[in-house]
Amino acid sequence: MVSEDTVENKIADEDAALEEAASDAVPVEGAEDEDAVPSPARAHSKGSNVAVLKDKIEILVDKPLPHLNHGAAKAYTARGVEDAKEVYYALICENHLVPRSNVAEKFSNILSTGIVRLISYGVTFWPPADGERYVFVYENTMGKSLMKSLKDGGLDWKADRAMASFIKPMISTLLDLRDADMVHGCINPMNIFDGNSPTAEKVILGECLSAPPSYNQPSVFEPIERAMADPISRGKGTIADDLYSFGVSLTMILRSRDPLAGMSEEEIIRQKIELGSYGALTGKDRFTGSILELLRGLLYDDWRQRWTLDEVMSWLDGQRLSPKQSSKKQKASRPLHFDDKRYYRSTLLAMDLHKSDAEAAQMIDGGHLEQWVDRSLEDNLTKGRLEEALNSARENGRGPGYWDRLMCRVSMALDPDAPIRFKGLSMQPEGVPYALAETMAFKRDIVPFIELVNQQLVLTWIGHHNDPNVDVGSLINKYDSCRAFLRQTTMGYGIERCLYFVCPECPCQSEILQGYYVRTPEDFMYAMEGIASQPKKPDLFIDRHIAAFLSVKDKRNIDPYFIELNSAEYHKKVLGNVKVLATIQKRSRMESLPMLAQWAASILRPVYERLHDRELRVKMKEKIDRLAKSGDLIKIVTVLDHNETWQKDFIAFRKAMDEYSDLSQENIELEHKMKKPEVFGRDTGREVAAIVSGLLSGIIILAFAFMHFTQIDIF
Amino acid sequence: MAKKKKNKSKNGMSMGGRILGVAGLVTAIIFMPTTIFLCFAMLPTVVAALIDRTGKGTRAITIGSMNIAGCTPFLIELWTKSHTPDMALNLITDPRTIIVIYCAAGAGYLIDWAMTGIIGTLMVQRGAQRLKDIKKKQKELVERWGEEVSGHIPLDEHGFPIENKEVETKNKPKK
Repeated sequence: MVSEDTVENKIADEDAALEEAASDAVPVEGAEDEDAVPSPARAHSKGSNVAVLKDKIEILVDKPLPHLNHGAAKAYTARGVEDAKEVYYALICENHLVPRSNVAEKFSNILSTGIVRLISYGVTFWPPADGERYVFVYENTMGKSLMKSLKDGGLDWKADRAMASFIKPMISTLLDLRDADMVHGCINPMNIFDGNSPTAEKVILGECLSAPPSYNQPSVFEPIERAMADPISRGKGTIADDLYSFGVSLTMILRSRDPLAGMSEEEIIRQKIELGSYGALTGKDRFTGSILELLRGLLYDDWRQRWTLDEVMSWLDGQRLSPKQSSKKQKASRPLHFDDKRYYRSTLLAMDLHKSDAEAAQMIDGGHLEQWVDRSLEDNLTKGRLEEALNSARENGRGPGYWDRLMCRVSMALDPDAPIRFKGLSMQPEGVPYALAETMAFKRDIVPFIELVNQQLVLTWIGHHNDPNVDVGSLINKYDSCRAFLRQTTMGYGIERCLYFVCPECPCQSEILQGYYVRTPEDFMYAMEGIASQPKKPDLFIDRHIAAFLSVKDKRNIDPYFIELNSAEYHKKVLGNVKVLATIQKRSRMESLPMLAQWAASILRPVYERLHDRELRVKMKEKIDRLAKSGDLIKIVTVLDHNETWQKDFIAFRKAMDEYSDLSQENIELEHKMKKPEVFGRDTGREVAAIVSGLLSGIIILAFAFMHFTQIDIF
Repeated sequence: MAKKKKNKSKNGMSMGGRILGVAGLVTAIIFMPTTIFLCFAMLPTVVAALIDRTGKGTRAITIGSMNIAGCTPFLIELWTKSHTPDMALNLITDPRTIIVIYCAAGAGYLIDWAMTGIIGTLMVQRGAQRLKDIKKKQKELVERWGEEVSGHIPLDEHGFPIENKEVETKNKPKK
């Protein structure tokens, strides 16, 4: 017979363990308050017509300012809370475009009358989109832009007016930007405003933060190599690029007509390569005197020879600087026939190589390209790069992806300053993160990005490139890390991690967080608190995007739980999810999150089912449900993670198994004996009879002995 | 083992048994009158021992105990009056002696028959109750610990059904 209270005794122990586990946890602020209200969302609208930013700025949804729209970002009137004057305007960013929030602080610190003043920025709930948006609020002293569009051609300002109203204020602004260690990336007459002065006495430079660097910049204002890149992937650029844009803007202000009118962006680039930027942009307009010097200096296509800001300042101080001839790209003595065109410049050939893949392949494989570079271009550097490109592309064989790899490498060899051209994408290395973010936001094909990293194309580009402004070390480290992330396909790694690693300002793009703009682990928790109150909720809190995002933001929040999150066993996944939430709540010292905690408690069934003892399951569920109401995820996890509880449960289960087994054995034996009831008990009965008989006989013998010795005779 | 085998005689009696047998024989010869008396008086016990097929000899003990109890007054008389073979034969040929002794042995047989029946019935009833208790206890264990406690299902190292592992990933909360 097995002891019946062996297992029963465990219940009391387990109850005590649960209580102890719960009491061991460090409470979060407000967690003990039974009536704790749901945590406040970050910012909410006042009805559907007003969005509030940081409780300070009201954005009027029904008062759009179309003339201040910047690219995809729409402008709306804004004002201080309870303020009657509407002196601000807000730009509402689109979520697929990563805003330059990382330089917003620098931008807001620029104290200049020549540039729009940033008042506030952050995330707010935007009623028309029924979701959160990143918002920049600027002071609205802009007036009208100098040009409505590129179709305006030129403004035909006189040099004196341009000097007083445009050049001097802009140079001052550029100095302020340089002091702030910032590149504007969007200097063009459509983004330069008259400051509400009809004569535009002093221009104001518009904003540059609402989209990735240079995304809203028409390509004509970009130096050739940046203009070749897709707008999303031009990258941050340098002050030299801002000076070039300033030069192009100045040219447009001074010139009377547009020699590039009607041309496509590609044709403009060709024109710039053929004629040089100065020649292409000025056309038949002739400038004289000091302005000519400035324009030539600023529009020099080779950034090495382009005027620096110090040289511009010297020019402004009246120093004579030797005028520089406009540069043109190197030209071959004889043309190369490709795609029914004649090419004299390797730059143009590199640009068009993708237009006829088959012919390009034939040209490269037949050795015509190498011959042309060797004999006609007579550029040993290009020849060396080309040989290296061909060899490295062939290193991995001619399997799938060979031609894409070859085209990309040949293109880089022919024009090392140009962006990386790969599978229809054209990207400056610093712009890859923004392009990747947009691609993932639109759920487009990410394979080109994966191959870009795996084939080390960025490193090849860096190898050909000799621009000291490019932060080579940083790029190498970034893409080496990305390659390592791609080698692992588990949750927390992969291309998602690459995205958040190379683009830290990118919000989390998880589908779970749709309608929320999550930039930090704390944002994530608040978003989850919001989602928790919705009727339709996902099964788990963490998907690949969130895992990668949290790991990049603070690896201590999630990395210790990767094994659980990637486990094939669902209960481990659930536990890992809840542990991550609790860790963020603890590490960020967040207030109680009752809705989230109750949601977490509601998905714990598979975890409870890992307890063998059904009674303990019920007790643990009741305990956790109580804790969930207080919004304390840390205590919940402490209860769930209490090893002693699980060990005791397992030991008790094993004992229960033994007990069951013993009972089964006893049952079998008893049933066997009872098959013959006439025999069952016979032996025992005879044994009892023998004992009884023995005792009785003993008594009788003693009685006879007693009677004999006392002379009593019964016979 | 070899030594033990050596100690046994051809008919299977051990050395101790032999000594005891010899001692008993000697004692029987020395106390011949008592031996003669018991040879006749203890016949019911001998018969009971011979016909008891259980092999445990419990029936012989039961009958023998009562048989010897029945012999007691006559043995006392033999030992106290005249411990001679004649006296022993006189006693044994006395019908009263035989009736008393054999009735005592019969009482032993009755005790054996009665106790076996009573105890057997009790045991069957108790066994049936125990079977019910076992089923109930096993049901309780299954309710508390799940079907896996029975050991009829293949379990993993944590004590959970192995087949559940495959479907566990699909075991998401239903909405």
